[in-house]
Amino acid sequence: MLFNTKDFAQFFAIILAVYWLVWQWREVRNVFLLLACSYFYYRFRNTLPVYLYSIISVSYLSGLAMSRIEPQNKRKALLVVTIVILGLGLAYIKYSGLLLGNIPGMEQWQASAMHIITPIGISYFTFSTIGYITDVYRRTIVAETNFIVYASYISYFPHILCGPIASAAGLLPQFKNPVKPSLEVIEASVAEILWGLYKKMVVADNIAIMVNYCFANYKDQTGSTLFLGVTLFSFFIYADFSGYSEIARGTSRLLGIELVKNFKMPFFSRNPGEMWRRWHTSLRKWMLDYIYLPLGGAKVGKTKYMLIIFFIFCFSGLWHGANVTFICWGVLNGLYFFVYLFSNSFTRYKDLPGKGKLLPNGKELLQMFITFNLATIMRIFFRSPNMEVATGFFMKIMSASLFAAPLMVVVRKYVWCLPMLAIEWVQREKDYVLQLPRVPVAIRVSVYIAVIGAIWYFCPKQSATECYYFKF
Amino acid sequence: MKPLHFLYLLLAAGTPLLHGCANKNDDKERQHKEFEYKQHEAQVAKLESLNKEYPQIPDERLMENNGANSPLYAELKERYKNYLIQLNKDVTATGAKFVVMIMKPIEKPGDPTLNFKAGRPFILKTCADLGIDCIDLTDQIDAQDPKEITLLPRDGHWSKKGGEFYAGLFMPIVKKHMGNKSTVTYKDNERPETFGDLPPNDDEILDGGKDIPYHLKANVQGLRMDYDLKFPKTKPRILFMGSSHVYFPFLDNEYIATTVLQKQMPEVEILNAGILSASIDDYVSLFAEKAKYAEPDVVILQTNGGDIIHLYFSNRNHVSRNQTPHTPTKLEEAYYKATYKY
Repeated sequence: MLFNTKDFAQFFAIILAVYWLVWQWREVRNVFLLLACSYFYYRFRNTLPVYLYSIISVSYLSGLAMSRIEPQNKRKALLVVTIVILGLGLAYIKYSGLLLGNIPGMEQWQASAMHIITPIGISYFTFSTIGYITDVYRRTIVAETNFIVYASYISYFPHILCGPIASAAGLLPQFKNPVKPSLEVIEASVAEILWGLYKKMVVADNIAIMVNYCFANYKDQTGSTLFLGVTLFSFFIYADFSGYSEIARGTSRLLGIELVKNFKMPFFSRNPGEMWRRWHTSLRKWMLDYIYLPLGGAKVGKTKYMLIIFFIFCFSGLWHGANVTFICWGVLNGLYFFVYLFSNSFTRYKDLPGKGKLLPNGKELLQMFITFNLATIMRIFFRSPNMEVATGFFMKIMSASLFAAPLMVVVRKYVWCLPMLAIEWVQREKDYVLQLPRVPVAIRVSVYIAVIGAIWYFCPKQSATECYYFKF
Repeated sequence: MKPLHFLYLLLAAGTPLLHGCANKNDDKERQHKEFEYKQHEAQVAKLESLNKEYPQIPDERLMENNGANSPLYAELKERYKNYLIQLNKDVTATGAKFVVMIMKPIEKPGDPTLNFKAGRPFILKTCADLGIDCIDLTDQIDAQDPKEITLLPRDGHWSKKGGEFYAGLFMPIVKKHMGNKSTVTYKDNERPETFGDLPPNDDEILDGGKDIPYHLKANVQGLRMDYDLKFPKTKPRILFMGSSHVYFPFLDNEYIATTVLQKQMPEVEILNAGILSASIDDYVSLFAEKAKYAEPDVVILQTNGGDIIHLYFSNRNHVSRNQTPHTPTKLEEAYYKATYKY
């Protein structure tokens, strides 16, 4: 059941109505939410969530046990054992193809050869459980004793398929005491859902085919067409993933639970560091909390610091999938980071560019342009199915055909991206894109209706598409 | 009275009269349009109701359980024959040469589909009976590796190599008949907007829902080719009609057989009017409504057994180009009810 379907709209309308009807009975409300989450997960592939509940049970019991153990070394041992169990499951299901597939005689032991279907959202819920158990070990949170609440938190339908990856400290307490949304919050949530749907169904779904075409036929295309194609991929992946995240955030807030913002206008970043702080923030925070800081963070020497950063980028690449292209993407992004670190041009910007102005200044514009293109070029590796395609595609862009006339059909696809970019730029400092403070209700409602109209009119006539990040 | 005033007076008196005439013409036109619109609405409503009552069924299943010998298949064959007679008549009436070409579909490596097994001998015999030139490409296709000339295992349609291969097969057919001259010409105002079913100047990326994206380009006359046709023509025109096997989905224009052939034979004009999911009734209507106005000298029709079973009413109601409602015959309805509905 995808967010961008009538099925989900019906499902969510029922869930919302019943959830608020039973709001005052906490236990009933939580049981209902857990049932709804299980049904949502089951309906996605029509398979029972056996693996999901195994992971939930292991982490829940481990958390309970850890809260009763006082000696730190025993707690640590339990933490390691739990992480190994959780991590091994993920590693086997997701990476056995890469690891065992290349070892003669071991091919039959791969997950795919064993007919194991990858549970959807496995990376997201495994990371959530690892984060939870580590927080319990660190005693930054108290272990959850109520299984219903804990299972609801991990399997929570707005975030289980592709995040945001939940931090237990921020999210778990909300399942016990969700906040009744005010009218203002309801409006903000609906507006966020609408903008998310617009990005997913109008922008991403209209340009996806062009991206697929460029990567499938890269040998026949000019460098200029391919460059525009991979730039479209940047817009696609952003519109697709951030759109989905905004729908998740909006739906969750209507249930009284606030999810973190996963994207904070990453295309308006002035250097790679800033871009990483604005792109997929929940994964970045997870890696900071559970990899970067335990390894020493910024308190170590420069060489070790570099190694940590390098490891994190490799890890980030590998998280996306068991493919050399992802590792390559991670490594190359890490190298960008080093260049900025060494050149001391790594400003930690706190605000978005052009604060309080309609347009950015020339320097900011140039910085944004360079950062966007650096990230875009690296996405060739992210999108390519293998290294042969990635290097072929990259070399074509670096050839003289970069200056040849591109296919007009590619150029025309930008008509979907530019309005999104312009609207987000104008609204970049707002809490959400369709926020219109001090504007009469009638105009705000007209804007929402216009967005609904745009979705209805411009959405390509095809069956609903999955979010690209589901596969991770 | 000054002459200018007289002119004003004449205009003032004449305007209502002229207006009245125009109004009468407008009324007639409006009434005609309203009638056409109502007819169209009624047709759409009927089609919707039929499609609701009879969802499309997989045609290939008609051939199961010795379907090739069933009265229903005999009825479909008869229908196919009548359409072939009609098309032959329409094409030859323009002075163009009509050639039928059997292209074996490859849905999977190995045995041909049941509808091809049953349809091929029938088409060959019918063409022989009607005196139509029929070229059977089955043996040449069988001599190829299906994995080379098709996109299998992803799809059974032709690959780039398939495009080259078919261009090689089409060439002798074109060479043999290119000396023929059509005898009709049409005035500019007689010609429809397009000669094919594609939108004029279409330029888009499609993937047919199979995640195999390809670049489709149509000329201003809605044909899958890279230049516009000019009149009067200066070179022999060869029109290819047929289903997806002539349209060549999943390939960019430059790799489809008709474009490859055009490059190899610049002395002729190769027109591609292939239609996805079409059958012979579509070719009849396409030729009569549009394609004949391109003034082709040779018309090559690609066909196979699929065109026979696609004439089953539920297929036509779902995918035919004109969307004319087809009420099932007794045999069709009996088969539908016995097999699928109840």
